[in-house]
Formats: sequence, C-alpha cells, structure tokens
Amino acid sequence: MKLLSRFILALTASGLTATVASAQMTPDTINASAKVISFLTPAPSGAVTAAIVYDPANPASAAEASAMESALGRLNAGSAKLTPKKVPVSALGGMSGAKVAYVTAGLSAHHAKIAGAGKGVLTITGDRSCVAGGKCVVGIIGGGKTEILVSKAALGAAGVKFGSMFAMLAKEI
Amino acid sequence: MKKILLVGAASLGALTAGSAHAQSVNYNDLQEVFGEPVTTSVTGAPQRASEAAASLTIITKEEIARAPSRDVASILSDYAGIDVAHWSAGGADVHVRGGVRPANQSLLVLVNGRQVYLDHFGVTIWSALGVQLEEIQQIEVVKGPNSALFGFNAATGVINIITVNPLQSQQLVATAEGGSAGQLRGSISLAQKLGENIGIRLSGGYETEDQYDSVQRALAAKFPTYDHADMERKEVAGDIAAQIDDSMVATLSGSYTQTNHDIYLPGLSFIRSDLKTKSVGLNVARDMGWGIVTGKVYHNWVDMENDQTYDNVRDLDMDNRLLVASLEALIRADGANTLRVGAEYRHNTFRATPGFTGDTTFNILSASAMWNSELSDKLTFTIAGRIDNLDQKQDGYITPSAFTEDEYSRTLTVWSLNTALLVKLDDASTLRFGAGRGIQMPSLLNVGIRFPVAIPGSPFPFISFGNPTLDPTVSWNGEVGYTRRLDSIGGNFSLTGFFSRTTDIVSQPVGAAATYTPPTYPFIAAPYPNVGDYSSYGVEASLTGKFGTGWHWGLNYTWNGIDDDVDTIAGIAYPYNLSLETSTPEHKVKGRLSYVNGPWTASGAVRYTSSTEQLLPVAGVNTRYQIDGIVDFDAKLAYRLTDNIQLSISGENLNGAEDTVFVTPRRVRGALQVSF
Repeated sequence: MKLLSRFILALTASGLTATVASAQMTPDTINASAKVISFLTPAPSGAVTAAIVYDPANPASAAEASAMESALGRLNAGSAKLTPKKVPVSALGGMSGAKVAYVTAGLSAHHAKIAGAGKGVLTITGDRSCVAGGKCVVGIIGGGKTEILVSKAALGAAGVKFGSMFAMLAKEI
Repeated sequence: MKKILLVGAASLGALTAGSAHAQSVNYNDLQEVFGEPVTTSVTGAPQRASEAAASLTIITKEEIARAPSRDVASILSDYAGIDVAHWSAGGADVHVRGGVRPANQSLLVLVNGRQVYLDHFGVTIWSALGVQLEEIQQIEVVKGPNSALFGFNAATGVINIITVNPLQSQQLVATAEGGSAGQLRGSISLAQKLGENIGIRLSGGYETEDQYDSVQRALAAKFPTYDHADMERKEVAGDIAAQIDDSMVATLSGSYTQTNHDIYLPGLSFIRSDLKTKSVGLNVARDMGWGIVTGKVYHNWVDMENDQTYDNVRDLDMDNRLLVASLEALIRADGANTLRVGAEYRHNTFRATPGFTGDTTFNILSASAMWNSELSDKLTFTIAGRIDNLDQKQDGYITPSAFTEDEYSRTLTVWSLNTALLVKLDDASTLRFGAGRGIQMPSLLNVGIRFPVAIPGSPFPFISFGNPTLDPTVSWNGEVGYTRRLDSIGGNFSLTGFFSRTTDIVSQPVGAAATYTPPTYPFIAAPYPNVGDYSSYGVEASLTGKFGTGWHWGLNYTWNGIDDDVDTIAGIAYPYNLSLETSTPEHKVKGRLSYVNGPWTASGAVRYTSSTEQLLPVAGVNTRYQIDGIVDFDAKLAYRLTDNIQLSISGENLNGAEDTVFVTPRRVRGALQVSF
C-alpha cells in the first residue's frame, strides 16, 4: 500500500496534468462537431451549408476559419454532406441558408449579433464564453477531456433539438 | 400470463405513437465526440466512461482487434480485478473480485442487454455467447453488484457485450484460423445497411479444439468408461435494425448456439455437456423528447444434455425457458437530473429429466428506479434501487421427496441498491464513493432438481434434491475509486479499493451431510444448502497510455484478499468443495503492449498470478493442490497484405504455465482474415 501511495503521489506531482483548453477548435473538435450535427433531430440530410463566422481583421480568427473550411469540406454529418462557407462577421447576411454556423474564437463582441442572425441555425464554437453567455448552442472544448457544452438558452432561441442520448451526455449550462 | 403479454404488447404499441427526436446509442460516434467510450450498463442512462457511477472497464473494438486473445474470456483476463480460469477446452470461468470456484454463479453476462447467463444452471458457458470477436463493438465490465439495474445474478458484477449496430457501422469480416491442439475456427460477421433506414447484422462461427491432455488424463484415470471428445462450437446470430422514423428504432434479434465439451462443476468433477441455446428478441426504443422509452421482450430456450457416462450415472437432460418483457423510461428531467423508472416481468422455467415431471418456475415481477443528479459542478450523486418479487412453484411433484409439495411454493421479495457519489477534484481527476447490494438467486437447478443416483450395494438411492427453501445469496459492496486522466501519456490512471461481504453461499449436495436417511425416508438425500459467507477486499490499480506512433500499453495490479467462513463437517476436508480463500490469487500483475504501424500489428500480454491452492479430489478426499505463482504470456503478430487481407500468428500461454489444476496448454494459431 505504501508503494501505491508513493506511486499516486509521484503521478500527481509529476506534472501530468490536463492540457489547458484553447478557445479555438482543433482538428479533433472539428471532426467531433460533424458528429454532433448528426445528433440533431430530425437528423439533417443532403447538402448542409455550414457557415464559418470569422473576423478577417483578427489573424487568429481568420486562421481558425481557414482550418475549419478545409476540414469541414471533407466531413459528413451522418447522411448530410457539409458545405463550408466563410462568412465575415461584418456581413452576417451571408449566413442565409446555413443550417449550422461555426463561430471562431475572438468574436466575443459579436456573439449577440451572430445569435440573432438565424433562427433554426445550430451555432458551434470552441469558445466557452459564447456558450456560457447563451449565444452559441454548442461548445466543443478540447485540449484535454473533451467537454461538450450545450446552452439551454441558445438551444431554445435557435429552435433546434438534439436526440435524448446525446443531450444526456452533454453538459447543459 | 396472457394479460401481461397483452400489457407488454400494448406498451410497445404505445411507443409507435407520439412525437419525435431520437437516436439509439451510437457508440462509435459518441466515442468520437466525447473522446472516450460511453456506456449505459451502469445506471441505464448514457454515461461517459470517466463519469460512470461504478468501477467500469470498457474494452473497445480497437483493443479487441489488437489483443492476442482468441475469445472473450481470454480478453478479460488482461484486466484488473478479473480472474479467468480455463478448466477445459471451451470451459472457462470468469470471476470479478475473487471468490474463485468452478461454475461462477454471481457474474451476470449479457449480449446487447440480453442475458446469456443460464438461469437454470447458474452459470455462463463462455463458448455459447453467440458472438464473434470481430463483431464486438465493446465489452463493458461493471465491477461490484449491479442488481439495481439488472436484477438477480448481477451480484458481483456485470459483463455486457455490445455488438456493432448495422445502422451505424458497416463491415464484413471473415476469419479462418487453425493451430496447435487441433484448433480450428472460422467466423464471418456482416453488418450492412439494406437501405437508408434498415440494417442487418449476421454472424456465424465454428470452432473445434482438442480437449486438454490434462483433462483427458484426469477423466480417464477416474472413469474407465471415459470416452474422449473434443470441444466443438457452432453458432449463428443476427439482428435486423430499423429506424422507423426520426425518433424510433426497432431491433429484432435472434441467435442459435450449439456447444459440446466438458464442463467443470462446483462438485470438482466434469460433465460432458451438449448445450443448445436459441433466442429471439425485439427491442423498441423511442425518443420522446423528454427522454427515451424502451420496450424489450426476448425469449431464451436452453437445452442442456449432460452425459455423465463417465460416472456410470444416468444422463441428465435439462431444459430452461426464459421470457423477459420490460418497459422503461429514461427521463431527462432537466440539465442536471436524469431519472429512470422501469418494470420487468420474467417467466423462467426449468425441467430436468430425470426429475419432477413438471416445471420448476420462477415468475418475477420487478420495479426499478434510478436518479442521477449533478448536485454542482463538482458533485454528482446517483442512487438506484430495484425490488424483485419472485413467485416460485413446482409442477409435476412426485414422491418420495425430501420436501413437501407446499414447500416448493413460495414468494420472495428482495431488494437491491446501488449508490455513488462522484467528486470532481479537478478537470482530470475524479473521486468516487460507491455502495451496492446485489442479489444472486439460487439457480433453478438449486431449487428444483431431483436426480437419483443408485448406490452400489444399497437398496436406497442417493437423490440429489434441489432445495426450495434456499436463501438468495446477498452481496454488499463498498468502494472508493480515484481516476485521473493523464494527457501527457495519452492515458488514464485508476485506483479502486473495495470491500464486499457475500452471505448465504449455495453449495451442491454432499452425501456426508445427508439429513434425509432411511428408515424415515426411502432414500439418502442432502439437498442444496446455504453454507456460509465470505468477504472479499482489495485494491485494483490500472494505468494505460500511448507513445510514439501506434504504441498502446496498459498495466494493472490487483490485490485481493478473501476471508471465507464455510460450514464444516467433522472429519471431512472441505465438504462443500469450497476454498475461496486459497483458490483466489492474492496478487495479480498484468501488462499489455501493442504496436500498430502501417500493415503491421504486434501485441503481447503478460500476466503474473500469485500462488493459489485449488481443491482437487485425490482418492475421494478434497485436497489443496498448490499452484505456484506463474507468469504466462500471449503474443500476436499480424501483417496486412492488402487493405482487405490480413495474416496473423498468435499464441496463448506461450510458456505453458501451470495456471489451474488442469493446465491450459500452449496454443499457437495462424489466421487469415478478410475484411471490407
């Protein structure tokens, strides 16, 4: 038992800690996001436009948008084929026709405006503050234990629904 | 009975009406989204493995594919807190947290939630699961009692084997392998969508293997008429899954298995068993928006012909029929609270020939409930309970008998409980406090057998009587678990300390304990007794990780102490064939390492098991037979010739370690696998 105690202490002290989560989506969380879309009810099918809202003046936001555009173009959400479309935050009218909108990091000043841009749009982000503020529906926070956050307020406002299995696993805030 | 079926049918029918938002458990996608496997086997609600309210091990499809093991029992042997004893070709026993004895009654085994545990015999025949390794999505091992969800026989743990869902995964895998000791195995498994909303899973397997030399020698030495036969297994199974609409999934399942091999019994002797099982079932789940309502009905048929000619004893044929109908609602009350309420009806019959001329019947009505609440960001509380009301009766009563006809009729009400408090210490660490009360009902055979054996030179037979007054075995368990995600090694650490107390263990009849004797009775009998209690306590520690490109590893240690308190009979050593204290290894260290890169897969598993003393009848006297501490290892090397064709060579117990009183032979095999 002493040996075990020492072993645990060593593990705890060895700096083997969780990675700090970034507000940007990673390739893994982008992949996960496509699965999340497939848990919508009714499940989307056919071609689904996925708007990527970004700030061209913010290099981090622009880079995240480009990475998303590249990755999403190769992904399916169940039987739906995702068609990414970059939308500058200054021209949210470009979200028209989108069923899904990805919100890049660094847009906190625009969260309310993005949320108001489309009824029936599922907003997905890696930025916890957007979900916590009730403006984005789903937050996928990677960088350690993957957190799937769902904003009850944003979900209601967007008018979208998830299947119960997924809803019971996600953390509602 | 008819009324209950009608209610069940009406309930299933009700599922077809109503609104809609649904998915069944999509293990693949949910694992991808959450970065870890998910399960419903702990509380009935979906949970991430790291947030489960019990000590849980999930063995994924990828881990199964990498492992050198050739069957489910062997795969389980690589994990903490699990003892696997291969007594004979095809005959294995799996124990969770000790109490090692042949024909383990206390571990409930399920395939997709349908029990493959045999209620009549109180055992799982691991060669008759009706599942091919290649079609397993994941194996879920819940350690500790889980009767609050699954009812009787989940007394020390539950193993739920989940197969691929054809609506979610498509595959075609065919495997042919052969090797030493007469090993020959062929299997095929298909999961295919037949349209947008319908899918089919079909699988079949055949296997044969020489009986262990050690078993043959033991039986030949004891029984002059022993006629050696090899192990043989045949099985087919399938599902048709249909997405009826956005909210409802219906799955129709069926299976057939046939196995023939020697089975090691609690009486420390073998029988040759020809076992046939059939099953059909229907599962309908509907997402109601507020949660999921699931209706399930299945029927198992079991025919077991036990050839006891070794012993010049008459054959014993046993039939078991099990009907289960259940309805449950999983309710997402709000973002922090989940409830489950359920009701179940089980109609379980058993008839043995020779024996009573009618069925031994258990009719069980159950009600269960579970509440899971996130009390705060740091605390999650779960409590689940279940009440089972068992109505026992015996038809075809004949005399002479050790018990009156009235004694066979009784009603029992038992309760079970599971509760846990999870404390999230930080983003990576969780502390779990859990407690549970599990129930193990005596098997139908324990209650209703009436098997006469002639005693040479005596006018009176010995009659092996079931005991209709047996108490259920009860297991109380308390545990504390700590889990920590270790990102820097891509793995997890878990540490669990547990203590369980099991009371009213059931033993088989022992002639020396005969309480029914001439002249009062025209026979000699010693019905199945409750013979004592035992405590099991210990620590399980597991560490997993990844490194480099394609390297995965796992290391675990189990310390397991047993204190047993079994009735004694003066002058007779171990009269009830139980020595749980010495037959359970105190220390186990297990490691596994695998490497997957390009076309190559290499893996190995090594196990250290400390010494045990297992009971062995020597000249009719139970003797403790010393099994020294052993290290045994398995290995596999596979090469993918093309995207679809893989060749492999694998071996188990490659160093031929003496693992039980009947040594598992070194087994090497080569395989060709074609997959699409």
